[in-house]
Amino acid sequence: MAGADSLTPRLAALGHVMHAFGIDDGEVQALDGPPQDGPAPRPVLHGATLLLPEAPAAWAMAAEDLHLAATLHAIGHLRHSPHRLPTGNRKPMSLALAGAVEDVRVDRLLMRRHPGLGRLFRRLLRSQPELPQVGFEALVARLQRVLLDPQADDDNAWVRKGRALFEAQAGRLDDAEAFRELVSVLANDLGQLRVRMNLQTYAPPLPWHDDNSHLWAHGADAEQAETTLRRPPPQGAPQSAPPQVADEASDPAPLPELARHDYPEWHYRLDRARDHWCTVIERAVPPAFASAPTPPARTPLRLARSRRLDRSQRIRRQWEGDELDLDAATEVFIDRRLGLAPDPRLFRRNGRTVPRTSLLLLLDLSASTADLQPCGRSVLDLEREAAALLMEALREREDRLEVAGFNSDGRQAVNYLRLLDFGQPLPADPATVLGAARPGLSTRLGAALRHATTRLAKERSAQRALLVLSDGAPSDIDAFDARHLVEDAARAVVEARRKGVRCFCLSLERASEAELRRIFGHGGYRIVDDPARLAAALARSYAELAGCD
Amino acid sequence: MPCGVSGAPTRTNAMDLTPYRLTAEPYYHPTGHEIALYEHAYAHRLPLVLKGPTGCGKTRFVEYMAWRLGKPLITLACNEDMTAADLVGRYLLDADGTRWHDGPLTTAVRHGAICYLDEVVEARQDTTVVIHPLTDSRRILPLDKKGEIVAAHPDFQLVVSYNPGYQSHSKSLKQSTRQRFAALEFDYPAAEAEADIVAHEAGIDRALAARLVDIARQSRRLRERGLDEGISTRMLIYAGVLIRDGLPPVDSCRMAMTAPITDDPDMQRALGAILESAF
Repeated sequence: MAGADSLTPRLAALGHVMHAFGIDDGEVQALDGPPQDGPAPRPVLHGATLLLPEAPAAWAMAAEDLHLAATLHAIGHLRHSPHRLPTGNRKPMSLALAGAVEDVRVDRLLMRRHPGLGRLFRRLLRSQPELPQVGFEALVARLQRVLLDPQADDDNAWVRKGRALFEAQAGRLDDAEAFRELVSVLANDLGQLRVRMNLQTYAPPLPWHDDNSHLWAHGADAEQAETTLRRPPPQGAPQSAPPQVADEASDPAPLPELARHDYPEWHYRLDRARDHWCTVIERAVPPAFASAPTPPARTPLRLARSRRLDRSQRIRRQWEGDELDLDAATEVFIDRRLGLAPDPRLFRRNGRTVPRTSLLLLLDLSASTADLQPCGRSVLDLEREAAALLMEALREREDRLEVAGFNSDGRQAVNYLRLLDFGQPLPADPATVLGAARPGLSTRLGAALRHATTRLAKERSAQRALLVLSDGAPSDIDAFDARHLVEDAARAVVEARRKGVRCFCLSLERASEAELRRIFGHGGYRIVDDPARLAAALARSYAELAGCD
Repeated sequence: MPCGVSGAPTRTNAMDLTPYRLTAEPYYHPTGHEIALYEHAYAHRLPLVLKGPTGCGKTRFVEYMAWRLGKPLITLACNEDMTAADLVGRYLLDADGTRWHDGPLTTAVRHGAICYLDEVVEARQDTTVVIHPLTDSRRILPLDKKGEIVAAHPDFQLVVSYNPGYQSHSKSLKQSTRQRFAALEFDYPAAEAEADIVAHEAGIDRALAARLVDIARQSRRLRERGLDEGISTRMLIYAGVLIRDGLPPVDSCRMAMTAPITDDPDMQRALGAILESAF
């Protein structure tokens, strides 16, 4: 029933839930399998990241409900709980009880604001396995049950006392301090009852409650214990991904040079362009280049058809239209005179054509594209996949495509790697040409944009578009002012647009949004947070660039 | 080309615009001083563009203002298949030959109505240029197929609306069109006001309305996570109406609010979870 397979597809949605509830950087990831002999796995809240284990098998409940409850509980903690309180000299049992009461306080606060949660929690409680009569964990579980479910009852005196004390404070749920007193009373009672707590096996009794490690500031030991968390395994990537990426990042032998072009660069401090400042070196891909790792199969891109009014096409004899079709109108009158039923299709309207687009896809190949994304794949890997999807999607169309990559090593060496030229037939497997794209060096975007614009200017299609796939702001070894290359790239985009080239950028990095906005302008870029949505974002960008409505 | 100039004041056969007059006061809850701003714009017949997300009350505002000013209102929802002829009119054939038929824009210009082009960016840009001569000091509408220039009636005003949307590139107005308009910006009302609106329009109690508004505001946060648009005030009213009819709240909200706005399965799951927590 429960399992990693049921959790993984839900992680993104649960992250959205955190965001919707006001946790901006909220994220939900999968927690590694539990140690064999340790306590039952519980979620871990680390900053705004929640790590969820698989649902425990003993509970007969829908894993979906449990994961949602855990996410909302974490939201409650982030909203209402104190963070990293000093533990003082309190005993583990007292801390565990304080955590358990805090968990209930948070759940009750959430239930007050979001009544549907009460139903969810009670549904989960009903699937709780039979509780043992004695032991700390059992008592805490029974206390939490009666506090979360008004209909539940319990005959244990300590549980009843706890319920009475808690309900006496229930009017002050917002005040965490108000519950300290009752925790120490209850902990004291447990001491007198000689209830023992097994530190090795204790876990919060309710599986949607996290381990509360975020509540306390322990010593240095605890800091290390916290790092039992880990990132989810790379989806679909081979196990050897990191070494292979490292291999890719290593300096490859330079590819054969085709031509050199000089371009100006805009110096915003001087408010003028310096001619012949940058040298773009065009490089070719040798035919038999090692192919890239084949990207996991994704659904092919579905591109919208362009619909553009074309007055040169006149569609005659229509039921409705903008103008009368004169020939048809004449026939209507002839038919009337002859006493025949006239054909009512007497309008004329304009047809539509599909204007041809030349699209240049420019891939950022700087060293940073070797970085792994949270999904476990490198930026370059995702860029290659996007390029392959686009190449496949355009195979059946008239549109012309060039795919190029760029990186730079100072202003004298901006490499422009021609992976696929305009007019060149598409290889059977796009991965064979894309494999030549290796990460390395820096990002001098402006020079690459100027060269791409020059390449596009030679195209004779009705529409010319430049789509940049990038992972961040431009930088280079000889540019010390962070603004310089941004301003230069912004200038290059303005120049390209003046030449009738539509420019758009898709980026996988939200951190550099301010720079992207400066370079490509409002509406000239889109940030794709979730690599799984890259294909959709690409199809949409293409539709916008190619003028499809 | 023979050009007759005609304007409504001199015309004897002024068309009866009664069907376009609002008989009852439309409910409108102001969120700022937009009513005063509109009145000043109308006093000078400035063309207006209303910008704002879908379902936030732009159309209702125009209806309310038309009622308040006592002017007829001709509304046109724009779409990409709309041509200039759909706006200005075309020749039709009848027993005696061809007969010119005024389009809705021409009717408003000739007889003095407020013409409201809803979602104007949906119309193709070559269609929207026909409004240019109407939106500068000329205030005329040339009907080139008919060979007539219609001078605008003194009561005529052009109002258009569009949704600036989420980083869209192709659907925006040309500068030459933009710069002819004064603009009012709309957004979803503040939580309190929005709950009042939903409670009033759907006929539900204030607490339930506030809960619906809560859900909508959570969904609007998800725009930062890739949702194109959050749940609009209009959707809340639909959901409220269904709940008032006795449908279970979760079903009503799913049907009227969360199911329509996105096809993305992750977003659907997230919205479903928000609904589940709310009721």
